[in-house]
Amino acid sequence: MPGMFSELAKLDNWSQWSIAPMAIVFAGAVATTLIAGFVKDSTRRSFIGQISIFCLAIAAAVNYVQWTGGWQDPGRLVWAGSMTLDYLTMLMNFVFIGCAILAILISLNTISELGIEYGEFYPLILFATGGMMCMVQATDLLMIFIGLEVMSIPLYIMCGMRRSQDRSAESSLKYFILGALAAGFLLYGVALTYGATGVTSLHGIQRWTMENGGLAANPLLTAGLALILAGFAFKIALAPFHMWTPDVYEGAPTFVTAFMSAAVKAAGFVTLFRILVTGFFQNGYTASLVGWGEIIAILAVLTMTIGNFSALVTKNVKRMLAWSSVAHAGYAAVGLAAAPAAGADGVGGVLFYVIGYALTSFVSFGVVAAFEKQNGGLSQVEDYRGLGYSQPFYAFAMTVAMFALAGIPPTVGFLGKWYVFKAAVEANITWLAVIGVLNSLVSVYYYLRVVVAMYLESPEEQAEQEPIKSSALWLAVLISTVLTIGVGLFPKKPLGAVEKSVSPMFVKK
Amino acid sequence: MQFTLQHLGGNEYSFNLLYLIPLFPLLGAAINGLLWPLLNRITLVFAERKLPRGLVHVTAVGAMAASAGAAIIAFLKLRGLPLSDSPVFVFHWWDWFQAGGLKVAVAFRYDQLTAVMCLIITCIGAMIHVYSIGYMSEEESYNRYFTYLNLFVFFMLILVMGDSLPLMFVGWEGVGLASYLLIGFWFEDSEKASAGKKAFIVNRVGDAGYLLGMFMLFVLFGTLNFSELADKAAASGFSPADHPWMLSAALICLFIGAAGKSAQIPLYVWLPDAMAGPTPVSALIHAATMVTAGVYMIARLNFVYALSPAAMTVVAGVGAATALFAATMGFYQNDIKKVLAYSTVSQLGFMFIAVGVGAWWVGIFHLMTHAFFKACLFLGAGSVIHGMHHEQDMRKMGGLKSYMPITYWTYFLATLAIAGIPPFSGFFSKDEILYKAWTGGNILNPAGKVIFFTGLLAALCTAFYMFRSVFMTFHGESRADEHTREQIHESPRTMTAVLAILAFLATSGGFLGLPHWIPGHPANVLEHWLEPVFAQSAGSLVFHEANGFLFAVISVAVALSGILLARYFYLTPAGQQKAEAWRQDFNSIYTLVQNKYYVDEFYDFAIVKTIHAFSVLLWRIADAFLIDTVAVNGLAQITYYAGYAFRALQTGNVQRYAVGMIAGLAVLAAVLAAKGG
Amino acid sequence: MGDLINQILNLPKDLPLGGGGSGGGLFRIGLAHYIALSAILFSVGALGVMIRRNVITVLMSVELMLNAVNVAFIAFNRFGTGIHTQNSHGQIFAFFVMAVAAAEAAVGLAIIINVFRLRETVNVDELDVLKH
Repeated sequence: MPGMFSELAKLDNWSQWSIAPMAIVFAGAVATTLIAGFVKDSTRRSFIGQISIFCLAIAAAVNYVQWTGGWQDPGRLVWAGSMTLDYLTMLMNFVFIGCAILAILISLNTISELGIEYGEFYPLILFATGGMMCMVQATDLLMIFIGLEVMSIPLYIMCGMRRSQDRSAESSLKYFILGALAAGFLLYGVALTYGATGVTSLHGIQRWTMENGGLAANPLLTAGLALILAGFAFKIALAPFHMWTPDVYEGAPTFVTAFMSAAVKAAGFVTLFRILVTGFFQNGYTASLVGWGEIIAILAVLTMTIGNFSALVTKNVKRMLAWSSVAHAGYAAVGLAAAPAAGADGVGGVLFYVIGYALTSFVSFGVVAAFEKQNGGLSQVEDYRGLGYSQPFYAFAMTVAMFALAGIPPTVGFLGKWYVFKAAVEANITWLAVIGVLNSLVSVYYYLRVVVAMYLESPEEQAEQEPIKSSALWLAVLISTVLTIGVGLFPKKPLGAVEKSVSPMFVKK
Repeated sequence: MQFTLQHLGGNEYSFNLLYLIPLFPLLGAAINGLLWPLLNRITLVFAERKLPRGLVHVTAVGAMAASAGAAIIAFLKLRGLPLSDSPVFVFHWWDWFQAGGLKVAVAFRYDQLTAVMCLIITCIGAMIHVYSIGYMSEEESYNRYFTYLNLFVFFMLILVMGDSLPLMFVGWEGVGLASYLLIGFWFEDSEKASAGKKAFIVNRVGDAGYLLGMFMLFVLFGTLNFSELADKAAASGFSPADHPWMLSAALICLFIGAAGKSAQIPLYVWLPDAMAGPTPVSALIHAATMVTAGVYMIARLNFVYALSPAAMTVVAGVGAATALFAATMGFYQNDIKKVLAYSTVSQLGFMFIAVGVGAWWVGIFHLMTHAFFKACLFLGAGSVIHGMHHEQDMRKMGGLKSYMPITYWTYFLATLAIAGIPPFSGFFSKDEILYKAWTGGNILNPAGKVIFFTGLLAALCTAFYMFRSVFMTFHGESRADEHTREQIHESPRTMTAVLAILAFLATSGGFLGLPHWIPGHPANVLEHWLEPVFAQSAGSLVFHEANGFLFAVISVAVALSGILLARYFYLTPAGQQKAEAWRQDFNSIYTLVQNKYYVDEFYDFAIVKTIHAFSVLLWRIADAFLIDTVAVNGLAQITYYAGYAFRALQTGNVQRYAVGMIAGLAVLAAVLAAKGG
Repeated sequence: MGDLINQILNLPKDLPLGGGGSGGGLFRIGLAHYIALSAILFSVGALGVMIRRNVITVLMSVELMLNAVNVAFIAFNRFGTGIHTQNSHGQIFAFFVMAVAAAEAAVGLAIIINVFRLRETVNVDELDVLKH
């Protein structure tokens, strides 16, 4: 044991400090697992949720110290070049921690309503959060893969946590099978990339592609990139790798769905653009070394269209939101498609979009969670009729979410769409922006249907529209609603942070 | 709080009173929407009584009065500065967002054009709030109504005061939302709720155009702030010839946005349906303010529109087509509000003719006079509906003149104004539009002449159908049943007082823009006032000389003949018999184009029967077929089928999903290889 | 055969194919053979995921795919040129893949057991409550 500590002490101090927030989250995950084991009475374990929030808050505080100057050299590579701590990482750490806290707040009282063990959920969500933090911090495909798996494996379990429920179990199994398949794609892609370039670090791949004239020369690398793209397209639900999304989102407990659609999607997008921009893109070229921009553009069109049109004919609110989540991945991908030509504007658009979408999805899924009961509750659009009068707060929050998702100002959703579409026009792919705008036109219809049901229709008979009594849930919905409007009105700081995060990626070295 | 007027250099003055103009209605909405219901719950629990209803309208009207007061103070301050320096008030509230070279601030701009718009919105808005007290007195959701109404005014003020296209867009979307809520106000009626939905969706089509146009303008100019846009457009470095299609495309896209909001062909369909809302709402939103937003936007962007004759021709052409088409639609409406709705569409067409031919101030002039007389007409119609206990069918009215004298006289004066009889306000503005259409040399030839004759014909139709509505409603024998007739009554004082004020404005508003041909050349107040706003584009626009008096004579003659024809057909027995005879003669056409909704009156009118046939055909093709069947239903069907098709792929079998993923991977690899290899 | 695969994969001519000499015979095992094996294993695994009904078999197919990855990593590390052999990334990666595969298998089996308890079947085509 003493030897091990002396080894640790020899490690670069930078390295240890750089992963402090992630380490705290993982420590919290281990601690909550142990605590859950020592508390015999399972009904008294709800305080584990509070402990988790406490851990996350500490991690956020450390992250804040790093953001405000505690980390002197943003972008410096640590841990033998396999990780970095740049502003992008720090910003995303805030996002992931925030998402985890919101998900936990939603879960605190609903979890027992759905018959889920306290001792299982909280360690798992902490592990998943730590995995995401690892994934966006990594600059080596190996670390990225490990982060991805540490994020995914807890999610497979979390989807199936309503163990007595057919749907939940099925959702978990589907996510697992397809997730494992996608992990196989990703790994094979990494293997081929390694075969072609001899390295797994993103900077090494970039150096190799620069020296060897890009993909054109090497079919191994081409195949590798295709496989990596497919692996991540699965995580962020780009068509045709999206088909798991509605099934899994619908079957999973709603707070897990919210967490997935907010945090997992954001983590996937950020990692994907880190890989593409750092590894397969060269500054100074007018376009990327390989034509991934065009491919993402095609995927974006498919994704938006399929997501929106399917949502149009879906009556179940949660499933409709799942389809809408697919569509929003498509909008965000528009910014990614613009990145080769529009640079930081394109990637910044993606980042702002996914953060804004994360906020909005906590509002919408939070409201759904408030009315989800073990047996019954509100599920179809018709069930929401007259909610505007029986539950004004939740109905108002839902309205804000719907307007934000439809992209109506001054919500954050409008600004997000604005950025990605503007980036597309700047990148001279106006057709993509046109398709995006037309798609958001279609989407208004189904978002509006929920608002119409809540405010302009009366329930058939006096329906039971009692929300789950939970001040934590109420608080989570309130926070995310306020942020959805607030960031839309005062986006200066968040936008500054986004720009600060992505612009170093495009600085010529 | 201290209000300071500070010179920023150039022609800009910082004036921190500006933000109060939109803030008051927002506060009103917040108090009525949140505070009172909350207090109401508390008093219900503790004191077991409700708050007095009066609180609601005192709050709402007070907010409007305060806002109007602020707007008037700003106007007076602006007038105090020498006009030759083209002074502009600005107020920078906060930086909204900034990214990639685009900086957008929440900042207001109060120049001469904004002043006109703000005064119209706040003053007419305040009057309509007062009118609503009487009109909505029996309404249960009293506070909901006033909340929405205040909210609407707030967004409308953001729309006209915003100093950049994105901020204008916030108002643009906001008024759409408020209008949607108000159209669907009586949501128990599902037809009315769906009318609200139609309005919202059609507006979104326009909004898509607005957004795309905005992006393109940004690509062209690198900014979206109005004054910076103007500088960039004026700079010698910018030549429209460098961007042959992009500029026109951007402006036409923006015009699609304007057409959506201002109900022009083919996006006019929502406005007649929007009459489902309460009548004061129709007066405020669907006549005086929101629907003129498109005209305002084009006038605001005059300096870029002046660079593209093609875009201007489109604007003027669509305006003229709409003016005529909607006017002919006015013939066979029996619902008094539908007549006014089509008339609004038609008058908006006139405004677009004006801004399309480059006569910006005339467009704003007609916008203003139209706000006066159309608000008066709508509120008059509301008064009739109120008096008749929610009867809107003119065939069941008649002879109301003696029951409702104030309503009759105000409605009559406003009708004279819209028909274009001097010296009522509509005469001056409409005559000026036709004059400018004939003499303007800024659009592609010979569109100006065609537009002139189209407009003249539309003016004839306007006089006819408006007097038809007067005669059917107020003259002749009462066609109401016994029971209703006993209960017909004049409206309360809050309503008639507003009618009287508006009728006065409709009568005298035209004197703000007296034409040049009047002996002695009296000053044209409005043109002079708006000069600084349109100064930049004025240099490049050409208007020929012509005898203005002659045009005035022609348009008066046209208006009078329209009135006389209406009188002949609707008041004299001979005319009615003739109409009946024609009805028999054209029986075959009757069956051909039969539509239960309007047939009754379809061929009363031999002189324009060809136009009628044409317009009905157009209506059949454009509205019933293209819009309803293809666009609304057809597209909806296609979208739904596509949705079901995608859904069918979603079999639930996880292995199918795996197949999808692997197939997707194969295609991905193939595409990459094809590109790379 | 080695040359043929090399041509298809467009690998550099100077890749050592084992046994010495670039013109190795049919049974001289080199990088190309390993990559071919790995590709075949991966395809078989993917095919299994698509067509086998039993979830356990599907899980095994996934494991097959991951092992294909391992073969590729090790082979590239062992037979690659220059930069490949200077580090041991490929071998390290293979260890991590094994660890992750074990974790996935554990979780996967737990999920399958839960599904079996509820539905009394482990045939994937019968698990389609969630659809459309």
